[in-house]
Amino acid sequence: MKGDKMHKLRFPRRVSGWSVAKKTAVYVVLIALCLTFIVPYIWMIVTSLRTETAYISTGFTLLPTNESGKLEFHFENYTEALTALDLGKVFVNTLIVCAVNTVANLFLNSLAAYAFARMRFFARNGIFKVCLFSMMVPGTVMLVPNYLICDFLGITDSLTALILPFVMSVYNIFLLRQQFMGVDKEIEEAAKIEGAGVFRIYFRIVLPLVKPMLIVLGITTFMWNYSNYLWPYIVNTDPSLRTLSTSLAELMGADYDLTVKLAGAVVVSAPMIIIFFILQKFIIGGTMAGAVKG
Amino acid sequence: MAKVSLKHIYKVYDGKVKAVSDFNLEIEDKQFIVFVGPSGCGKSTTLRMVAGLEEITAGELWIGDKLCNGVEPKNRNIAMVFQNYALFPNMTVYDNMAFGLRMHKVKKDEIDRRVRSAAEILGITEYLDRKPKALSGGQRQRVALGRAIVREPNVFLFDEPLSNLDAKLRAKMRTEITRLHKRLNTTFIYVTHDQVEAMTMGDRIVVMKGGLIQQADTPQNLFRWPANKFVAGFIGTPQMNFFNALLTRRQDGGLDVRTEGFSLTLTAEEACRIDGAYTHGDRTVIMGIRPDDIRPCAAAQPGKGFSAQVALVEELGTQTLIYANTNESQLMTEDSPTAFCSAAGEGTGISPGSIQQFSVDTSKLHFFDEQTELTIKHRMPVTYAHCTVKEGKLSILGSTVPLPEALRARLADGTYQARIPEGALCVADKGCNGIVAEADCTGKDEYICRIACGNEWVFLKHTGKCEKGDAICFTVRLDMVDWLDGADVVVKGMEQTFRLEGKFVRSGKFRSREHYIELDGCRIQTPFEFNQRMYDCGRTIFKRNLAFEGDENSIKITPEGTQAQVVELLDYGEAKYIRLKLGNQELCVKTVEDVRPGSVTVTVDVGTLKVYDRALDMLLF
Amino acid sequence: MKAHTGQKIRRNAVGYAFILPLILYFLVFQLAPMLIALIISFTNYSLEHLFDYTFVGFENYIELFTNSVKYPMFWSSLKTTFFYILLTVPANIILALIVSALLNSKIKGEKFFKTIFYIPSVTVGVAIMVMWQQMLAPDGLINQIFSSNVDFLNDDATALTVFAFMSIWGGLGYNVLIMLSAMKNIDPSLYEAAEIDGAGAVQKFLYVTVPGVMPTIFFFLVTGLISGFQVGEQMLIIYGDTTMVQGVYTYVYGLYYTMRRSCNYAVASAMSYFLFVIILVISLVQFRLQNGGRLLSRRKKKEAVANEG
Repeated sequence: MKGDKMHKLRFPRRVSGWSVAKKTAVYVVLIALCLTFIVPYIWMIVTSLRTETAYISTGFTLLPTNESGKLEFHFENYTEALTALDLGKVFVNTLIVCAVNTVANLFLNSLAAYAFARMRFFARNGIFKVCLFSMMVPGTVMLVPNYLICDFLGITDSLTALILPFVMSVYNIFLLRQQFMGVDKEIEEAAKIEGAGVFRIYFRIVLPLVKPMLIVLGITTFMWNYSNYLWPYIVNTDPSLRTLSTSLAELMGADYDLTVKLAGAVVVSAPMIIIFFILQKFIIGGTMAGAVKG
Repeated sequence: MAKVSLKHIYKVYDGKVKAVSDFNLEIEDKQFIVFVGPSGCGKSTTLRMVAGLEEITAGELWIGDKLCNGVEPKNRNIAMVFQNYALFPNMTVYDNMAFGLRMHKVKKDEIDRRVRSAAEILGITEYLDRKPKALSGGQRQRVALGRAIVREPNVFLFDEPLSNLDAKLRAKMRTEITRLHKRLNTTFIYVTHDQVEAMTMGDRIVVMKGGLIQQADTPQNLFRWPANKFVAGFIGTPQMNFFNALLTRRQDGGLDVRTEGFSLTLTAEEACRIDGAYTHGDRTVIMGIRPDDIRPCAAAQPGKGFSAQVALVEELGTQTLIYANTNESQLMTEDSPTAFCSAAGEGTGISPGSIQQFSVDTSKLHFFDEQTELTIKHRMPVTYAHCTVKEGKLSILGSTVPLPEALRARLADGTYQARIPEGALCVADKGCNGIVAEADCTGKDEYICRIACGNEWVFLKHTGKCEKGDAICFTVRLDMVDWLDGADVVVKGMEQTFRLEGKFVRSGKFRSREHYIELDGCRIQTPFEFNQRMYDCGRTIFKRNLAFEGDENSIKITPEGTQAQVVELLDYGEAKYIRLKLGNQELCVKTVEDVRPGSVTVTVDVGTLKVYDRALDMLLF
Repeated sequence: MKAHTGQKIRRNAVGYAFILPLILYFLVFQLAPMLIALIISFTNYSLEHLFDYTFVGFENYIELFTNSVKYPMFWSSLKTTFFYILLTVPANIILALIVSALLNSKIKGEKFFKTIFYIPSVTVGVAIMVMWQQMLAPDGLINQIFSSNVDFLNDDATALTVFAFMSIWGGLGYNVLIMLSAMKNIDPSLYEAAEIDGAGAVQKFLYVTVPGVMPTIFFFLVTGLISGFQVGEQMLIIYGDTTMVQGVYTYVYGLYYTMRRSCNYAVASAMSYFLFVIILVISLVQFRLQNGGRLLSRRKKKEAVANEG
């Protein structure tokens, strides 16, 4: 019959048009959001390489250009920033504080955390609870008291004042304890039966098992000390004891071109961001793992 | 190479939760012993106490001839294989195996030799450089075994080592471990929840439930003589069928068994081991029949079988399982009291829905008390004997003796039934005579003899060779016998132990401190050694309610000592008992002295007392 | 119960050897400061009375609460803090929910987005402040984009909102990570069940995702409140010790001011303790709610078991 229509051959639809649209919308939203995160950084880097006059006259550009739109890199902003920051001295200070605190934190916290997780001794839970309670006391509240105790100990205006108050962390102990409790008890028992002593079990058997967590905590401790601003600002007034953060804040308040200030910000924040990109697997994974436990 | 003995071991958590109670076991050297039971029965806890991973609350643990309570695991010379293998993930297989030896400061080349030879035995040589992560479950298990082997320990402990493997690998590893046991010739203690594993591997099996040993015996004995319904149901697949039944003694000494769906008849011989207290037809008992002992047949003899409707047939290849029910209306009800499972050979041709005849092997029935679920068909049963008391004479088991003083007042002339416990019968030169009708060998030179004595049967334990048809002579200790009239106990046999309740107290200042057992109304001073053992039980000892158990050696009448009242003297001829009132508590104890009722002074030898915690029902020492 | 006394002593000794550093640290840098500060908050210890301070009882506290001449900003700084919390906490939660849900919708590049959002969390705080300060300046990027001329940071009307925005921007990466891991923990069969029952994407989000991450939302609420009360560091970086912009004068900013500028340690301690009390109350309420919820669910479980049996 004539009415018979030739049906067009068609493959079954895998993806509906609607869902393609939805997916696209999701990407658009996410990419837009992404831009609000990337643009400020690009702007900061680009502007730090321009002159202030060029910046004021042409506004935002994707590449460092001069007033007439020609590519121009003004690295002298950076040399100026470095001198203003007193980078050599400040960097060494920061590095010392971060390194000592990180190593001390990992060792001392894991020691205590292991004891809380596995050992039985008098008043264990009581002590742990007191420590947990102290976690509720926010850092800001501790600022004044800690300043007073450092004053009392006579360590204000020294690097020691940046190290000692942060040489341990109850929160890290808490996280590590969770990790240790997750370690298969049988492994420790096996080691015990094989004749290993307490410290050896801790150091040789258990500690390697929580290595991922140690790495995460190491990074976060390092980063926290690196960007810590308030405490160094309050406890140390001597310019030779400044850290990167306090020095940058000083630069920010001083009378410099905005390009120099941005150059300083780039210098100070770049190391951490680079480390982040290298170790992002650990940092993001660790934060998520910590979130599940916490 | 060592024997392990666990003496009255308890594990109590937080002073109230009993995980293991009164665990008593002698593990012979080179024995393969299996602890089996459902999860939470305390088997792993017991093993971990042997390993030293858990503290022992009370009791003694001996490994070899060393008391091991509180000894560090590394000094016990044991090795352990864990359920999750417990390999150190950051070390290679080689380092895993060498770890323990390094801890024990073994020389390097010796370590290498031992690790390589163990790897050879287990076929893991090629994996020595790998990390455990790169191994399969079976290989990891082998490494765990290897780590134990290299230590060359006295005792191997296994904590459910195969439960993480798949069925096929498990069967393979099972034979491998058995072979390893033969090869190493060391004591193995093996914990599992799988009764098949237990039955196939163990020389002896300890069945546990709720922290208590239900039964400890060889696989065959567990199967043939389960001590209670739990063991009967736990051991053997498919599971034993249970029915509620009433037992009635027949004229010929046999037994009628009536259940809801069918009746069976037992011959006198088949029924002789069943406790007489249950055969009056008025107490419901639980009867157990293994599926292998109910078989389909063309026509069952009366009293030896019955017919039932088949619900389901499962062909398993060499075996056919037939699920049937004597009550048609409950055919598909899962826990109908009349449902059962029968195991037949292959290819029976029976179809579901048909009516089928089944025959029962009545010699292999099991019976249990309805409440306690303990067996009432003992391998070594209590003997029941008819006896007559007349004019101060007692006729029992074909001999006549004068009625002892103590019984004279209590047993009037008439006929009674005597319940004679195991210990009351002993082989002697003269006394009652009988012929051995059956000699059941229970161990080297140990027999349980069924002796025909007139038309009654007497059961006694016999040491030394003994055969069917031997003439045997024995005596009955009348003081231990219960005298029954029908089902009522007229006179109870004498207890061999007594129990006193009290507390442990101290008084006085530090230097002149004195310690006492304080009973209701009297106190007994205790010596230093006893006090030390009490102190070992912890600070709470003074608060606890205690019970003290003693026997004839614990209490003596002495010219000086604690005041006591003799209430009564019970003279059984060869044995004399006195009923004493110590404080406000009465106790009955065997004595050699002739005392008259009245005031006496006694000395309690506290060193011989067993001390119990009454709240926990726990033997402290 | 054999008490192997020697063993027990050894066990205790080993345990305490492991936590000895913690105990020392805790005593010196947690407990002692708290006690000293508590004592000081009842004195007139300050720059003028460094050596001749006396106990004044609750005077510091009372003055703080009532003397609006001496401490004119006390109550208004609390109000500012409240505003800040109102601006940040709900926005934080809602944004984290939406972005996590988008990232969780099986898209490609989830890891890339997570990384980008997380960059501010690893940027030195002062550097971020420098960046925003310059971008928000009257001739900065923002004004260039909108071709406007607003001094965001020095305008009472906008300053607090801008700070709230910066905090939300900086915290998004971390919040998304936490929220996302909570979402990934939701049993996927719940989504399948909802789908079979005919739920669309929005319904699934409302009836499966949101209830599933409720504990995390609650966590954000509590941590948001606690950290919201402590806001002040950012202002300190931007403005230094003192500011003309009253709209950003938060409680903690006032605390810094009292400590660094007026050097009135006693009053600063008192302010610290008052803050501590506020945060303690929040924590206790949270604890109560959480435990109450847990008890309730346990009871429900018990009932369910009982009903089954």
